[in-house]
Amino acid sequence: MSKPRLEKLSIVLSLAVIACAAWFWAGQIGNVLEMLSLLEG
Amino acid sequence: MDPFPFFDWLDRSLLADIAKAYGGVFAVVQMFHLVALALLGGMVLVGDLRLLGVVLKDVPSKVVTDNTQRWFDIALIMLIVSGVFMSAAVALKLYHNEMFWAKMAALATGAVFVYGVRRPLLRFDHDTLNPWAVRMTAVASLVVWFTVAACGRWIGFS
Repeated sequence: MSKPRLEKLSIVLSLAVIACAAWFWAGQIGNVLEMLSLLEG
Repeated sequence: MDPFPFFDWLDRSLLADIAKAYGGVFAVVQMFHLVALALLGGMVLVGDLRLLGVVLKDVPSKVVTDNTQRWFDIALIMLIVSGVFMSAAVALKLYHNEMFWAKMAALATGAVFVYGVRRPLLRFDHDTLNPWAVRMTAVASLVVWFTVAACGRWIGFS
């Protein structure tokens, strides 16, 4: 694969990975807060 | 495709018998799993933070990523081998665990990303690469491996 194409692909896939992770952790935020409160308790 | 037959087979395999019967063996394998996790996390942190220009600024980034990639490969193999053994002890429990599947999804994403995108990109001279491509790759790599580690730890609490 040519360098310019690989650079574009890496930017697009990186954004996709970051977006998926953000979506996943946004969905888990309630569980995270609950776990933190359990750890404090 | 339901992977249940595989987990059912794993639960009744010789590997599961050993993992369940010998606590000492399980503990040693778990120790290797944790060492591999620390090694992988360390290599990801050093490599990606160097790409972001945060650490080891006086060392060329290609030297850092080439060296960390080698140890990353070893750590990933150790993690998978020890992980399969540990999973055998609680295969059916893991099959029903949401966080286990989140970890597996993140692990598969991370492996495809590293070997399909990050490594081919970083084979080029880093000075000639689009800086945004390098930065985005480093951030995505950090995020995906953090997710693998966090989900793995979370399995124990869920």
